[in-house]
Amino acid sequence: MVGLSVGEKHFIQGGIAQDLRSDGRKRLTYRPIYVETGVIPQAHGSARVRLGATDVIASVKAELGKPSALQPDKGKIAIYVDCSPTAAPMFEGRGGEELSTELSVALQRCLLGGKSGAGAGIDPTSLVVVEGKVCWDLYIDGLVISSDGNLLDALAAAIKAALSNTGIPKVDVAAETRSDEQPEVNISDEEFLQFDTSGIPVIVTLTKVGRHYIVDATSEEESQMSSAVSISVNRKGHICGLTKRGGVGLDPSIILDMISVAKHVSEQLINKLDSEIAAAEASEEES
Amino acid sequence: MRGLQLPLSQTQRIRLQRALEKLQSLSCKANSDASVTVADTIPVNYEDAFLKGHGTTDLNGDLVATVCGVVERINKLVYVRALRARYKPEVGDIVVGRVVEVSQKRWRLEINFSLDAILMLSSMNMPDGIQRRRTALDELNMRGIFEENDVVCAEVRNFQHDGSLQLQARSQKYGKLEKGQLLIVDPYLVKKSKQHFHHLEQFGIDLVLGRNGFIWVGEHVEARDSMVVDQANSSEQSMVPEEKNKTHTPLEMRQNICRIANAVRVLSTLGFSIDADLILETVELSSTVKIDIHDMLGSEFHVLVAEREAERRSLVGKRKR
Repeated sequence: MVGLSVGEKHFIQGGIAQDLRSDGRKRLTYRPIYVETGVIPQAHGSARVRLGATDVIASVKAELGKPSALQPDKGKIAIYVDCSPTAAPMFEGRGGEELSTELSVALQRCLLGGKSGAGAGIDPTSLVVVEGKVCWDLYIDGLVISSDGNLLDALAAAIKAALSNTGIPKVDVAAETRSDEQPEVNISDEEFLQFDTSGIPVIVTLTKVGRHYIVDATSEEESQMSSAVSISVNRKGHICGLTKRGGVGLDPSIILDMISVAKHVSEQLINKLDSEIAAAEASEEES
Repeated sequence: MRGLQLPLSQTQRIRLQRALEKLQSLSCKANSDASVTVADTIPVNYEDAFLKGHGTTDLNGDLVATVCGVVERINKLVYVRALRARYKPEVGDIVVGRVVEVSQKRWRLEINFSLDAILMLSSMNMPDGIQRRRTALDELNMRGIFEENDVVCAEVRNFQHDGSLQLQARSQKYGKLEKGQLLIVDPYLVKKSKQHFHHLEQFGIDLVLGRNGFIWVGEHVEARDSMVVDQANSSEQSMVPEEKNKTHTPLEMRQNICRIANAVRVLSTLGFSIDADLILETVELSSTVKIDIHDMLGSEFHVLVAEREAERRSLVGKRKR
């Protein structure tokens, strides 16, 4: 990331204090979001989201597997993010690995809930085929193509769009099987089940610069941040996950204030994202 | 025209297409046979002796272009000038750069060229304005003039024998740029003109169009007087950075800065040449249409700017005839 001079940093901080950022946005305004679905035909679902100059792709692949012994009625979901070396000079070689693991863990925490599976945004019980024996394993992969700040929000939006684009093949299970045998399964090529994505949360990242928070920071604004809190909120206004980055400590009252601001912002974001996803799927069907 | 990453509705797409086609029909005249893409043969009289320049190669006896661009012929030299390449400096160009390194008696600046440009300490006016030999003390105080990551405006002085660039910042109008924002556009959009420093009086804003594609938009700063700095003044100056922390740019000026910056961004996305008149026209268009500063980066304004430019160029064309 290119450095900023003292004068430029001062200008950015002044803009945020006066509610007029460098590109004319207010503190709580998102950059225009552009969604394309179905960009990877070989995957079961995929989407590409552009948020200003930030460009990410998410893909969903489903494979049949065995559910874990501890949770026989749930399928498995794995989320992994890769920062491509072309995204930014600092990602060259293995430079992007730390950021990749940080993003993967944050997304897992926000979308998959706790270890017991409680509070998950994506319902894993819908992925089971035969309880205890066969389930769907979902592998969700995110790729950061171009980084201009706010990667977490863009990735969460891309995952939501990819899941709404996902079609899980219908499985016919052979009826008579003894309880200790692996049942025979027949994966259909034609019929697909659409994933229900109304419960999937979005992530709103609030970056604290000086005494104010901004939403959707560019990489220049992120370089000025003292701390950032990413809150995942679903359609009902429930908090599904919380992650804090940055070394500066925050007073608990500020965190509660940030949560209420995030809830307020998330309503608009969810509506905007849903309409963009619907438009993207409609244009994909036309082409 | 690069693929516009804008969510355009159907009508907007059609309007933009129409405006761009009109612009293309107005511009492509005699030059259309001079533009080549990769692997096009260049029309050359093979009997004359000619020199193969940059962007060409000999393939099976034919002269073939290796880059997309325009064929230029100077005496016997035939070369292809690439359109979207790194900045190609000429002596006397005004450039805006960012300091990457402070080394012995020089600063190294990044100017979107294949090498870093060098600004010698001797090519820079001393803060006290006296013309004198640079001493070792001056060398130790270089960081007091420019630090790492500072944005500096300078002029190209000459090329070194190893190909690197030397800059000079001797006049009062060159120097550190503060209180504003730096925009990066493609170098080919900024054409050489008589004036690269624009002081927009109605906004109180300085606009510096660097030929390397770095454009600075910021608050107007009076050219510094070369007054002798004595002890009293130097202690005053050391207090100023703390005061600066409290005094931010006033809101109205900041709005103007953001509007101009967004106008530059729109023009660069659409691929139009950037000069001060066009920027001012775009800003006026945005205020007449009463569009919000942030909405200037939306699709509707892009389409409006394209249509306006097509109209303007067709009017100019008609006037010429």
